[in-house]
Amino acid sequence: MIDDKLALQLIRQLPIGACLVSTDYTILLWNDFFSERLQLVPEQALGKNLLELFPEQSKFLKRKLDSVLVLKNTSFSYWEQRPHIFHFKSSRPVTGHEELMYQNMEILPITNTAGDVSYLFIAIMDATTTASYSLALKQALSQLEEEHKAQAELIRKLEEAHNQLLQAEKMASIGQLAAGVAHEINNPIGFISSNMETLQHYCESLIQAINFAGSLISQSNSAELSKQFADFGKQRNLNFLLQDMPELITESLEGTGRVMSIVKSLREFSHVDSSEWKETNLIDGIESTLRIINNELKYKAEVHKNYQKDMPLVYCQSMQINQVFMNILLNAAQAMEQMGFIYIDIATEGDFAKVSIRDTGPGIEVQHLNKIFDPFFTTKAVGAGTGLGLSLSYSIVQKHKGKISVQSQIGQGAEFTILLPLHQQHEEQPEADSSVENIL
Amino acid sequence: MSSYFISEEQKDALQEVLNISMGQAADALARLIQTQVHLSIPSIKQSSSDHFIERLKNPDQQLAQQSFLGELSGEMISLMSDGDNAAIAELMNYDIPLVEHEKQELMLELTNILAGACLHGLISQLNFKIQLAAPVLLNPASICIEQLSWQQALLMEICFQIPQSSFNAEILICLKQDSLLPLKNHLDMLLQ
Ligand SMILES: Nc1ncnc2c1ncn2[C@@H]1O[C@H](COP(=O)(O)OP(=O)(O)OP(=O)(O)O)[C@@H](O)[C@H]1O
Ligand SMILES: [Mg+2]
Repeated sequence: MIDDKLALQLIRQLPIGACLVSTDYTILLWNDFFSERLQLVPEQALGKNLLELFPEQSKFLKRKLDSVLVLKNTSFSYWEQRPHIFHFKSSRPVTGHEELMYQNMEILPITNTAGDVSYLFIAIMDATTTASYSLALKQALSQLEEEHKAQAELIRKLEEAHNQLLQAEKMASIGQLAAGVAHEINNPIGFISSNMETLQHYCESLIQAINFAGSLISQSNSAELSKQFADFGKQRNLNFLLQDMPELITESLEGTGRVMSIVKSLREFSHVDSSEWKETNLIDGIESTLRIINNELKYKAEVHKNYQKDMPLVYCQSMQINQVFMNILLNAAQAMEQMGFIYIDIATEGDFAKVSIRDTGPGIEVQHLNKIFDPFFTTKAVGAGTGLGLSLSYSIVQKHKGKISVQSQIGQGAEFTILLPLHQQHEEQPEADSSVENIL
Repeated sequence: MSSYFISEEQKDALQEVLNISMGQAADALARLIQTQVHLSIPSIKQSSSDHFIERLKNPDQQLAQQSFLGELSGEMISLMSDGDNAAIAELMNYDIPLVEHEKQELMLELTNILAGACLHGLISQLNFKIQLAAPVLLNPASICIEQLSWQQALLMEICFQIPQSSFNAEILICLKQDSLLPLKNHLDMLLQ
């Protein structure tokens, strides 16, 4: 059997913290683990009151010790809930980043023969390795979760972009179709219109001839002839006919004129060579855009225009600039909660042509102002808006070396301003970016 | 069936032992938290694994588990209402309000105390030597019937209540069929 001296040495060298206290918390045993890691030699600990020696933990320790005293059952504490009971230095000073040791604690009752608790044994186990693995695992897990979330978000955006591309393709083919139809209509409407004009002249001469014949008959003093002419006129309702015929022709001419202007707008807008750079009249651009979206605007806003008279031409991709106008005008109309106004100003400002489009809608919230040009930013319901309108507009204007900006106060509407350089360097213009093209 | 599992005589003897130990437990608990603690009369039941799992899956409760090993081995499960624990925390000398890890600590400590008190009387009367393992929190979602290697177990149920607070808890002492043998032997010895 081992003797007391050996037993004591064994306890001293135990690889766990071992401390024995009496029922009044006086420290009776303090092994090397405790003294080395706490830098507290046995002489500084033995005979002292444990609770007084560690005042920060005294409430916790007393609770634990008392429960063991009363219930005579082991009590436990875990690193997860209470990592550092004693300020032991980390067991991994070199490879670890922990400064303090993570600890599990057990307090065991030591009972005498009568079954009463006479001592309390405190054992501290080093759980630093487990803890750091477990914590690293937890961190990795939450990182994974975050990455997963980011991925899901990315997939959602991709889906949206995909839908947008499909939409763009659809719009492009509709545009081409429209251009084709417009082209087909253009020829017949052209000759109908010129025939109508000729007919108008013929008709005038014819009316003059009939009127002349009438006056000759009345001058001839032949009652018989006059009566026959008058009867014939009455029978054929000649007076009404003479009056209605020019009106019919004028109305028809107006109609063909309207058809021709719609065809012209369609062709201008969806022109196949729309990404072409050319000297453009911005006023014509705005006007043809307004005609295209007239249906969306007419019940939402009254449009007021103020165009500078001698606006110089601007070298640009007119079709794409029209798309910018359209995005902004549509946003304004969509923002209107009730009938309001849209003010369009076109003028020169220094070396720039300036187009400003102001609406009297609800305006844009301050915290959204720096986001509205971001791709996918939208306040519209899911499916209602893609949030791409303004970001595309932004990139189009950017490509023109221009500027697009917004000013808005909540409740006071919003004003978008587009500045396009009047003197573009023709050679330097980059090729039209086909991915932006045709996206409405 | 029940005679094979545990005989009526053995059950009566066990009931007697449990009643005495609960009296001691209530006394010790009252001394520890300086408050009257109500304990129900323990009930002894045979339970199938389905039924056992069903008991644990009530969403309004928190679970913890504590194993005991030695001459008698099994597990204790504490089921505590997931409600206001401020009153019991104060009785237990915690600083309130509790942060999350303190709530866990309280839950574990209560499990240790209540389960320990229940078990202590039982094993000291029957003269078993056992060791208690540390209590751990139990996530009911992680328990499924496929994991369980038994069909029938013996459950001893005790309910705790502290009248001045909304606190109530249940402790289940669970013994698998194969660890019943030492219990039955000791009970038989007591019966002689
Ligand atoms: N005139 C305006 N008044 C108020 N808010 C506006 C105005 N113009 C833009 N916004 C805000 O900016 C957001 C982004 O506009 P953008 O045109 O980029 O996308 P969208 O209009 O939401 O979607 P889509 O253009 O695909 O219909 C809008 O959702 C809206 O909140
Ligand atoms: Mg838009």
